Amino acid sequence: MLTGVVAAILGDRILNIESGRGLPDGVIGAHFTIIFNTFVMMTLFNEFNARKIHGQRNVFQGIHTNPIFYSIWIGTMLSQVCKR
Amino acid sequence: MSILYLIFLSNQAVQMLWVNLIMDTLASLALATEMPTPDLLLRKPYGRTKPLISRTMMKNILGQAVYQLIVIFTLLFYGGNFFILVRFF
Repeated sequence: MLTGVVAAILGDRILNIESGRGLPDGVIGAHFTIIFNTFVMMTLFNEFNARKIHGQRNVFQGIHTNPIFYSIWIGTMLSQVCKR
Repeated sequence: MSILYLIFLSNQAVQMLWVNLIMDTLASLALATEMPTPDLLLRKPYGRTKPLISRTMMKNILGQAVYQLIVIFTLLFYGGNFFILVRFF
């Protein structure tokens, strides 16, 4: 659900992109950039789900008790979003 | 999912390196440093012949994989029709 919101926000701002399929190797268009961003966002939010594996309801429980986890998560998110 | 993405979609080295080297190693590091909680003492022991990936885990994995594949493939094949919206930059 969170990912859908993020993808919607990211997707809103691009106009009339041409399809990225069929481009030569090493050339990357707006289309594949969107796909890449969406993929990374889905992976990032899946990290929360991967914390709880016994079917618990609340995946965010005890998230503040592991500083390594949330600092890495924030760092990855920042470096993904702020990348040129 | 990362492997599928890298094989089929990524055509740029930076994306490959970012996903595989940085994100996956950092994610495994982050998940491996989870501290045990007191709730762990209430959990029943695993059976000797139980699979390593339990039914719940497999459900989560497959559900997430199908979800991500649907989103990615929708964007890949129909993405050009979606984004006919406002240009900000």
